[in-house]
Amino acid sequence: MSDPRPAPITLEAAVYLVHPTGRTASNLDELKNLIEGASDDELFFHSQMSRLRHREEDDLAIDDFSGWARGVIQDPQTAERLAFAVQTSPHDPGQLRLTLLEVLGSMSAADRLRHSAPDGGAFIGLVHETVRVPTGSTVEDAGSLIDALAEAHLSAWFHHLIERSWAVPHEDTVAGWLDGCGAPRLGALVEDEAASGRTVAAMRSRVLNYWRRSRIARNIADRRALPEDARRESEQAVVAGLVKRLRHSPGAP
Amino acid sequence: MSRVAVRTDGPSLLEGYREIVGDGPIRLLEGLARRLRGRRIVMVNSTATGGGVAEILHRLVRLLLELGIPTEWEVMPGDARFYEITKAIHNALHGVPTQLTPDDWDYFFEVNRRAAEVLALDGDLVMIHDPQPVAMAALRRRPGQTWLWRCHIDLSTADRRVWEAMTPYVAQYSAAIYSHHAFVPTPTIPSFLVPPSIDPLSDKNRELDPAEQERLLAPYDLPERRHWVTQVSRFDRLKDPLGVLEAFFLVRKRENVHLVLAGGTADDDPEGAEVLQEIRDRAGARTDVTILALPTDAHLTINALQRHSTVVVQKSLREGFALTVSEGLWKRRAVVAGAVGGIPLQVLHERTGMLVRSVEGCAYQITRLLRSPELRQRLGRAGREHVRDLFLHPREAWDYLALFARASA
Repeated sequence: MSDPRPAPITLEAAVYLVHPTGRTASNLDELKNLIEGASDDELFFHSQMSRLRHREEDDLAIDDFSGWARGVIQDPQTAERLAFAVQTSPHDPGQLRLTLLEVLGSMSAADRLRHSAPDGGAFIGLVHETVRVPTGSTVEDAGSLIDALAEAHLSAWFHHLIERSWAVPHEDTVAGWLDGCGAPRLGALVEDEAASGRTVAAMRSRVLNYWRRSRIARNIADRRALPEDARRESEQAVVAGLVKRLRHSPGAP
Repeated sequence: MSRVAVRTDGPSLLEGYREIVGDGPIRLLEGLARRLRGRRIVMVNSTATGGGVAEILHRLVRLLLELGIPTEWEVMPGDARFYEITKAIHNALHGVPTQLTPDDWDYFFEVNRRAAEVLALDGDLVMIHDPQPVAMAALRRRPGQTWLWRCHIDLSTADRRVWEAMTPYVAQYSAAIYSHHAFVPTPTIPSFLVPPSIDPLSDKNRELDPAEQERLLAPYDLPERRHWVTQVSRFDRLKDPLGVLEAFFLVRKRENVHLVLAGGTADDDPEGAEVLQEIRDRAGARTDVTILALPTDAHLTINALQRHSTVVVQKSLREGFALTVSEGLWKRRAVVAGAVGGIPLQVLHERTGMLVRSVEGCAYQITRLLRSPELRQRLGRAGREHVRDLFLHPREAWDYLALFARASA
């Protein structure tokens, strides 16, 4: 009996429609109450969606809780503790809730009430609804998944690698699917990146860089198997490409 | 004529946006459009010209047509009395105490009824904009149609009686769409948030070369060699122009800088005229402050002012969405803004700009930015990318298409 191949993935981009939950917080004490009563979806929205909204490739995304504590409440210490809690919590809403409540619970009630949001600056509970947009790609192996993702909108990365992998068993995630396709190192990378707190833009460029690097070794091995003429032609193309890149690089004469 | 003929000649809007936002977002729009194949959309509002809603509808309807979605735009007919009543409703929804008599309401619904008889409202998806045509769903909705109410105005301080009079009509829609979470009243139907957006191809936001900027700013005798700190907004106390002036006075003690406060002429706004006078009195005869009362169509001048400024300020005390912030960010300006309303969505503190809560905070951040070109450059670059992703017209269009797709599913 051969190993069963995992079912193909139909790649979809997504648009996220946003609803207010009707719950608000005007100081850190109210934020604590809001987190206590927040649904898993609400926690997901406020801890993960900023990774799609923010674009920095060289920094972590700012989750909504710490962003509000820093920018609106202007309590940098609590903001950085909340940010750290979000970055380091596993993708498990129950655990995330506990960690956030630990941060806010370690402050005295008086400290939580010390600063209030200005009028119109309250934290607003939000959740999302996903509208899926077919990309037309169905993939059956690791290579075609990465190739299709490279062409897709960032929301496809978020949808498949973060949203659909949130709080589900490993085997149901894209990382689990990659394991099943015989690409466990790529799967581990994807899993690490999904849990890294990096923006989706950063995650995309890191995964694609890894993929390109990993293909260099494979390409060399493939070329070894080519006949002499074809190998020489291929090497000349590589050198020509390198020369072109050097000519067009900044600072080239 | 109730149907608006949207111009579809000239260069493709879709391709214009593709050049700015890239291929990915446009393919997302095209993918959503494929999901809507075979559906017809009707947009309804109360005017084809003037105002932000008409402006966005001209762009949006054209974009939908280019995407292959049959779309029509109907304008409800009205008369002077109806517009007086709708103006009063508009003011009441903005929190201005207003008296509306039962006769006024009867007339309001009578005009809606007459309009519902003549407008072509037979689309699969009908989007009604703002309160004027709000009763249409109750009058014309037929099985199989999806009706959405798009409210562009801030209902956070709405007169309760006026809102209660409208609520039964709003309840006839499948969903309501608001610009900002603070604007959502007690929801009776599913409510969605679709932030407004700016048009990168409009006169207010398109690229301007230095010569064009110089020509546009020449009439105002502004100092060439000094940094400018600029706030563009209505002369309104909630925009805190006097707070900006106080912050500027603190900055000016150490920095060689010029303040520009630019706003509308305020001819039709008695409070605006009063605030403008207060600012002029406070600025006195200073030559380092320029107060510009600009005509409402001075889009290119505003564009040039923002582009020429070192720091763009929006020190509001209370805000709706404050798209002037996105305008500044889109032009790669360093932005200092109050942490209220929709501003924190646009300004990520220390990443795309600086959020402030006091006059001193505002002065501190302006000084910091004036002294660090590197910081300005970093924020400016990040701010532009943030707006490119979230606050340009294509994103607003894909939110609408996603709502339509959800409704059609």
